[in-house]
Amino acid sequence: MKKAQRIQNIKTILLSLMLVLATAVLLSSCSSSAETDSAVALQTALEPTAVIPTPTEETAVAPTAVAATLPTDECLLCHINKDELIQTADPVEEVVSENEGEG
Amino acid sequence: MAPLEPWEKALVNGETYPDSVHGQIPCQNCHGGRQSADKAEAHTDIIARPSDDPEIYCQECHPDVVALNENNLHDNLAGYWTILDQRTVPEDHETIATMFGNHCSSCHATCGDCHVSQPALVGGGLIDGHMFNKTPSLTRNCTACHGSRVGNEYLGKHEDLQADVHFRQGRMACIDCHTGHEMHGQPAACEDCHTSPETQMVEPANHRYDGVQSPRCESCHITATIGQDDIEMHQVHGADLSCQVCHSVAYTSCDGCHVAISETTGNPFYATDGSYLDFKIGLNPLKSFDRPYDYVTLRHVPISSDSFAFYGDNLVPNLNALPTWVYTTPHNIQRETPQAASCNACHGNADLFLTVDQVYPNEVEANQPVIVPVIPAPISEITATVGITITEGISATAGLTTTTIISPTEQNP
Ligand code: HEC
Ligand code: HEC
Ligand code: HEC
Ligand code: HEC
Ligand code: HEC
Ligand code: HEC
Ligand code: HEC
Ligand code: HEC
Repeated sequence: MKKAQRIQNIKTILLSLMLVLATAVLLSSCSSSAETDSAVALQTALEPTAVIPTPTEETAVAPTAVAATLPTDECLLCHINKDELIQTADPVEEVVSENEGEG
Repeated sequence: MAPLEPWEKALVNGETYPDSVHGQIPCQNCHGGRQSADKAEAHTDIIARPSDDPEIYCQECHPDVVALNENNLHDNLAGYWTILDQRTVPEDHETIATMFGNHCSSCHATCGDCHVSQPALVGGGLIDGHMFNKTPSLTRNCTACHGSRVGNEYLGKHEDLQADVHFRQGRMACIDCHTGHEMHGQPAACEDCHTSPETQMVEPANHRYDGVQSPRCESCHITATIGQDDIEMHQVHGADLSCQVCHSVAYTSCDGCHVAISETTGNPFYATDGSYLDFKIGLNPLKSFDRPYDYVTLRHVPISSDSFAFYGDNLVPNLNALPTWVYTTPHNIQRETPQAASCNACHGNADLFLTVDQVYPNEVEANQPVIVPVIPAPISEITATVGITITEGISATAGLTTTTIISPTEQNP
């Protein structure tokens, strides 16, 4: 069955995607605790570029309440944040419909 | 309804959505994209309309609904092709398909257009913070697409014309008549629902009036069928006139639709030469066991021989293959209408009927199947044969019938 295969493929892709994500989340939680942990802080000092690859803004945005229960999902974080959406929304394009009459 | 701000269109409700069933699924499973706090990066390879491919994103959990989807007119728009195939010729189908892609396929409805967001036609945008609503909204889903004809009639947007009695009096939404089952498309095989030894295949619907009437007025108004109530009109005409012939009022017809691509913006657009309110009774072009009426209401559709001229010459060579006045079921039902105020409000009233003089000369041939050859004579002239003693002058007839009607209705909503 082609369909079943496709679903299976998608599942595999999704699974690996989630693994990658989980690793990413683990890594980023390391980096955010870096400032408090002196041992890690040392490491940071040694190799600053490798350990803090992401802009600090990213972690600052994350509301702690959500971060505590869910792995950080950047999509969700932005899309439930009205101010963020207002700031990042594309300017309203004035699409004047050129249709005339009833369709 | 005020248009949504750009941010509103994309705002997910952080209180309700994450706790819902679909909220447990990571956004990326349906929308692709990347994990990033940067909008452009996050939106790389984004899938804006996952439910364009319900087999991938919905089927696993909703196999029953998705299985019907490919036969659903809302998805396959087969109704348009049924007509286009007959009015055009195979050599031109590639060109016609291009035209269709530019101008018509935007009307195709995804699962999300009824359950998650507003259709793209009205600018898109989440309806309820990304909740998957079971019940589509009348105005934000259904009439967002079905606005100019059905919506305006049903909601009473035309000056001097009342809203449909089912809305005005019954406060009914579209889905009170058009059920989820109908909206998802009928099953391709009877045995999907009816398990019996003899397996009967039913062809999937290829236009909106294909097959049985669904919904059907008589399903709810059982007594209106011939001879089952005290209303004289129902007894005389319960079977040979469609209900709308007596119960709907003026509705929209259109002339001369042309499509083109805008030179200034590059956007596809259409223009109709005119749209107007009209009411025309004609012969039933779809007479069958399921639609037994001799007479039905008809509307003019805006096809013309040069509708697609932007794409080439003579692309509608078979304009006459089908009438330009088509079967219609206006959504402005009223209990009392001008044409049914008395027998002779209709009998002998030439304005109501699609006679040859009402048809554009170049469309007469196409409309032969629906043109009314002779309008029904005023009742006084046929009383002799039927034995009804009414003379034209006595308008009391209508008044008399009314009195007998009112009482059964009160107990019979
Ligand atoms: C189960 C699949 C699914 C998941 C999971 C999902 N969405 Fe959607 N999303 C949809 C569907 C369906 C639509 C409506 C578009 C369509 O017709 O397919 C939609 C529409 C949207 C829109 C509106 C697009 C527009 O302008 O009309 C936004 C924004 C959006 N989703 C963001 C998100 C975010 C953020 C998440 C995670 C919190 C998410 N979605 C999770 C299926 C999903
Ligand atoms: C992982 C399984 C899953 C996937 C994938 C999924 N759904 Fe659902 N969906 C559910 C479940 C479970 C319910 C029943 C929720 C309830 O009863 O509260 C549901 C309910 C619904 C409802 C009715 C809402 C209600 O309150 O009853 C709609 C509409 C719907 N889904 C549409 C979709 C669409 C469209 C897609 C694809 C974009 C989709 N679903 C993908 C599991 C899923
Ligand atoms: C995205 C646009 C869109 C939305 C949203 C939409 N429709 Fe439609 N609808 C269409 C188009 C286009 C057709 C014609 C399909 C054809 O004839 O091939 C159609 C056909 C129909 C038909 C006749 C065919 C059939 O399947 O019975 C009915 C009835 C109908 N729609 C009712 C509704 C109702 C009720 C809603 C809201 C629950 C709705 N539609 C939402 C675009 C839409
Ligand atoms: C009182 C019942 C009722 C209500 C309410 C109702 N309809 Fe209908 N509708 C019908 C009937 C009956 C038909 C004809 C079905 C047939 O002959 O198979 C129909 C046909 C249609 C069609 C196909 C014919 C056409 O004119 O294109 C569309 C589209 C449609 N309805 C949309 C809607 C929408 C949108 C709403 C809500 C605004 C709605 N309907 C409300 C009874 C209803
Ligand atoms: C033209 C509008 C329309 C489209 C398109 C549509 N639905 Fe629905 N859907 C409805 C209506 C109407 C109901 C019934 C709502 C009610 O009874 O309150 C419904 C109900 C549902 C339900 C809940 C009841 C049930 O039957 O399980 C689910 C789940 C659902 N739809 C999923 C889908 C999926 C998946 C798709 C795409 C393959 C889809 N719908 C496309 C109009 C639509
Ligand atoms: C799903 C059920 C349903 C369908 C289908 C339906 N109706 Fe109705 N109709 C009702 C209800 C309920 C009312 C009562 C409204 C009220 O008086 O509160 C009503 C009221 C009416 C009235 C006004 C009666 C009065 O006493 O004022 C007329 C006339 C009517 N319908 C004709 C039609 C016609 C014609 C159709 C087909 C196009 C149709 N109905 C389809 C449920 C339905
Ligand atoms: C020849 C014209 C005519 C036809 C055809 C017709 N009706 Fe009627 N109908 C009337 C008249 C006249 C009344 C009474 C109006 C008044 O109250 O004065 C009426 C009243 C009604 C009522 C309200 C009274 C009641 O019994 O509840 C309903 C509902 C109704 N019709 C439904 C239908 C349906 C459904 C059909 C199609 C099967 C239909 N009618 C066909 C003329 C007609
Ligand atoms: C809205 C229009 C309309 C209304 C109202 C109407 N009729 Fe008719 N009537 C027709 C049409 C159309 C025919 C079909 C004419 C034909 O086939 O020759 C017809 C035919 C007839 C015929 C058969 C005549 C023949 O020559 O075969 C009789 C009898 C009749 N109507 C009686 C009545 C009576 C009595 C009333 C009032 C209680 C009435 N009609 C109300 C439209 C209407």
